[in-house]
Amino acid sequence: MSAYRLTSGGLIDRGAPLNFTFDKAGLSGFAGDTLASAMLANDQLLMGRSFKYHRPRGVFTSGSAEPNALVTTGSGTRREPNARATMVELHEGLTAISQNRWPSLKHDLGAINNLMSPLFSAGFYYKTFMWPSAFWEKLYEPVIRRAAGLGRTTLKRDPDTYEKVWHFCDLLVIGAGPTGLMAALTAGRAGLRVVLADEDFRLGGSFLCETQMLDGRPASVFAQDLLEELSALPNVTLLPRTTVFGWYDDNVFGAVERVQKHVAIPLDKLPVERLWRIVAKRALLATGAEERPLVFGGNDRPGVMMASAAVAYAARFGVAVGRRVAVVTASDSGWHSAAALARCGVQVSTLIDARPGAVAPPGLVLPEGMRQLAGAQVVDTLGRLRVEGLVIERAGYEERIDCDAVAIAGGFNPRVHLACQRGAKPSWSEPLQAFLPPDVGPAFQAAGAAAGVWTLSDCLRDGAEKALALADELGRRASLPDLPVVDDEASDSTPAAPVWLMPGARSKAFVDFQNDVHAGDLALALREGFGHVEHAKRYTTNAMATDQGKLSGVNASGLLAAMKGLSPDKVGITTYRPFYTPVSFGALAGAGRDEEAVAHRHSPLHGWAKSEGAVFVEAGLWHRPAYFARPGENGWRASVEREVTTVRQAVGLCDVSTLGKIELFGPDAAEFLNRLYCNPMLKLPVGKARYGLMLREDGMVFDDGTVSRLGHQHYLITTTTGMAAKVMSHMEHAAQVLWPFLNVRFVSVTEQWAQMSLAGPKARAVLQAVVEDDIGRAAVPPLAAQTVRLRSGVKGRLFRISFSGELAYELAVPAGHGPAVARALMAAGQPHGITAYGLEALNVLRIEKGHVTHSELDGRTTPDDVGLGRMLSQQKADFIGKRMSERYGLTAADRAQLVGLVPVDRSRTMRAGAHLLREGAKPSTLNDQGHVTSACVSPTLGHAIALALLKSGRERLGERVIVWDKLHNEEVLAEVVSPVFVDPDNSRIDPEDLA
Amino acid sequence: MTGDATRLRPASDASDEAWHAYVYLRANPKGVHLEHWQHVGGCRRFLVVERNTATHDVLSVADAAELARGGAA
Repeated sequence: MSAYRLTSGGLIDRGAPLNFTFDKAGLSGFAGDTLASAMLANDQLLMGRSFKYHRPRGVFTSGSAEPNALVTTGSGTRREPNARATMVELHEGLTAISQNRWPSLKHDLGAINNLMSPLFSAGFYYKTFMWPSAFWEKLYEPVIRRAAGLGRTTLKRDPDTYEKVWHFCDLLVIGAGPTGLMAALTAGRAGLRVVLADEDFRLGGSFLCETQMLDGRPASVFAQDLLEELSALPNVTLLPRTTVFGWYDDNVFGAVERVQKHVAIPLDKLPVERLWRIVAKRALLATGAEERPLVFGGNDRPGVMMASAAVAYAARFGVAVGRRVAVVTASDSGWHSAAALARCGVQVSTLIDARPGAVAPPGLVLPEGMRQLAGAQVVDTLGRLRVEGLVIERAGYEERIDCDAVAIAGGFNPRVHLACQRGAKPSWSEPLQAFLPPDVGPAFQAAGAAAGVWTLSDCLRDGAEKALALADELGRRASLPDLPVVDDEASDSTPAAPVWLMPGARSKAFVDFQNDVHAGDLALALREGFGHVEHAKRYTTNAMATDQGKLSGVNASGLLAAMKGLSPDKVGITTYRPFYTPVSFGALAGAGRDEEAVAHRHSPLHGWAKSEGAVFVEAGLWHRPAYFARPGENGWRASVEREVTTVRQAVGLCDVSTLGKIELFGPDAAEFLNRLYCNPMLKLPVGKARYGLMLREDGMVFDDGTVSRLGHQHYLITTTTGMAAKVMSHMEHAAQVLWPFLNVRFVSVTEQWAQMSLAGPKARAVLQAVVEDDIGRAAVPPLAAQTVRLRSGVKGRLFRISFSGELAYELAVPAGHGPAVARALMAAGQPHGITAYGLEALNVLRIEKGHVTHSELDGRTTPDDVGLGRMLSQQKADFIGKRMSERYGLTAADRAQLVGLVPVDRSRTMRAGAHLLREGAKPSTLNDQGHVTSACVSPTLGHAIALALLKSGRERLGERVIVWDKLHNEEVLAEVVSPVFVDPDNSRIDPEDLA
Repeated sequence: MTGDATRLRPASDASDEAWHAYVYLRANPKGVHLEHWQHVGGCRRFLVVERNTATHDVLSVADAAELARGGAA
């Protein structure tokens, strides 16, 4: 036994024992423990195996920077890999298992990698597994992945819920330590809306492991009083268990709150994690500082840990990390930690200070019987699964030091990450020997240890003063709270030059514990030309693990600087990016998963379509009916065939509400539309609709639709479903940026109208049963656009527009009336055998008629390419796309042009996307002649048909081409024909009145 | 964001070069730049935003239509 629970002290509840398991062994801890502190109390020093060499590792920190103690918690669907034992709050029934070891944590066969480590130097993978290239995917990568790794996630569905919230505040204080608490108190008392967030489950930060008294009271009691006052203030929001992980534009901060990660079975009513987006007028970085590890031989042996962690385990958790603790330091902070350990009742046997001639800071009460060795270097550690001693060198002499735990203290690194996430770099301070946060403006400032303020009383003052200044800026009068007196506080001593590497290492001196990068790897990177801090990072993988180099980043920079003979200032530090610590996908997704992953839009006729048996398909955000399955129909094709045939022979009803609808008003509306479309719009009469084609400024087709003139200065245009938003923005650009002098206003009315297409020879008869006004051939001729009164009294808009080539109407009614009107039409159509038809049938009908959609209008086609060249107005002075349409490349005769294809063997089918080749040509994209844009089996013709873009296609009618689909390995011989397969004379669109 | 706000649409009979420049060429300066931004989730106005592309500091904002009409912006 070496680590053990102290009989008193700490912020744990010894009256509330909690049972948990580690690798199936039953252990117990107390309420207030973390998994790491509870394991230590059970003398479970060994907590994991390292990533590459499978070296035994123990807990190294007491916080979120932990690189070693990664475990998998929970089981089944709640299994969570790579949990830092230092951040897992202990609860009854917690199960944890170790990772990256086989067959067990104590006996890990993967440790053979350690013996072969001369092979596994930095860049090993790049150098070794290069050849043959096919081996990488099939052999090297799978084997490497199995050997080196972290925990495994579960592939089962996450049973828990997550949520996202927005929050607004005057001041966000990040970190609830002494600095943050004083800042929150100052701002909170002045009435500011304050959010105080801290990643720990208990607020208080370093107060919780402070062994000095404040105004004669324990620091934790002082902190508790502050928290009680803060929680009573209605304008202060306290967020424990909340990590602020990112800083974004407009002073928006991302934070994740672990609402129920510390319970065995979460309550259904609450999310397990909550993602906060906090919009803060001002924010204060009060994240404190991370203690800097010392790099020496064997510094990764279990039992070696940060001095601050050893103090935290003793003071906060009542756990002694050993019975004979050695402190290794390169600064005064190690002496203070030794004293703090002694105050908690932990035996410190030896203190080794790398600085020659170092003596105890004045006034510090040192542990009784502690041996002091100044100017000594640790060259190795003894022991295997736990440290049993140190080998030191002092003035040329070697000595073995007996110990069962090592607390290391290499100075402090302010936690500057958040302030650097938007591009600014931290700056090296020579006097403080630390990287300090950059000046990123008044909205986000650092205070306390995060700003390089070291002593407790200075931090308290700094937090209060900075909050005071911020309150003042925001127009609130605040006053400085009374600051406590810290008993026996040591003066702020100037740190000595940091020891980046203790010389003479006998075994690997680790820099990055999680990714197994040692000092030699960085030296190798430098020798091989990867000495830039960003190159060295990639070459060695230093700071690339899940801890993102919280402990290793600054040391790597310092080592590179020392090797180059430069100041760390010149070497800099690698870029800090969100997230500060790992955030679960669940929290980022929030409620947005499965069908809620994206917003979806339903047409006003959605419910009606559902009741008709619609099978829906996603079209952008819309869910549109693909087809309407009827009992006995086997698969979608049978339904589509029936729908198409019914439309051609009788009548069908289709929901077209999703088309974009934009209404325009104003004296210049006609002129505006005339400039927007490539075909003429000025002379469109009131009560008429016209097909229109919009181009982009580069001459390619942008979108198509109809333009209806409802009144002298009143138009309604439609867009395709997919392009509605883009067309709206395009029009706004034209109206506001290009021609702001035109007097026109427009608004989207897509959601306001339910619109249905009634098509087929019986369409007029069915419609007349529902519409009161005369809709005969004379009253409503082709391309009529007028207001009609329905028999129900509802007023609608009727358009004589046909996409199917049949006699067809589009009837629009206010959205709320849509379902009733659709049902009335279906009832009126029943004697005629009406069917509802969906997107698939609509597509077949339009392919049969050679009408284009965005399959053809793919952003690379001109009006002429798709056979609409006559629409390009030659008379208009200007319209969007006019000038660029005249370019040679857009008028060349060998452009791909729209044609139809019919398979020579009528039993064959074709697929969209297939390439066209000359008959007899070798299947190769070098011989490409064009491609199939749309294909279907035509129920009307009884065989497959396709639309295609073929080089000079219109000159090649009658020619045979090969339709080559490499993906499906198909070749079909097809004849080039006109793209209009059905009713080329348009004889069906306006039949005689039958009624 | 729709990019460079300094370009003006040429007359329909302007030279090929002028049209080529308008349709295809964009300055991508590091530093202060005038850009068109559209307030898509709100008023739908196109704005001319003077922004430092290196620091993301927004220096001024004007309504594009008002600016084009020569109004106070």
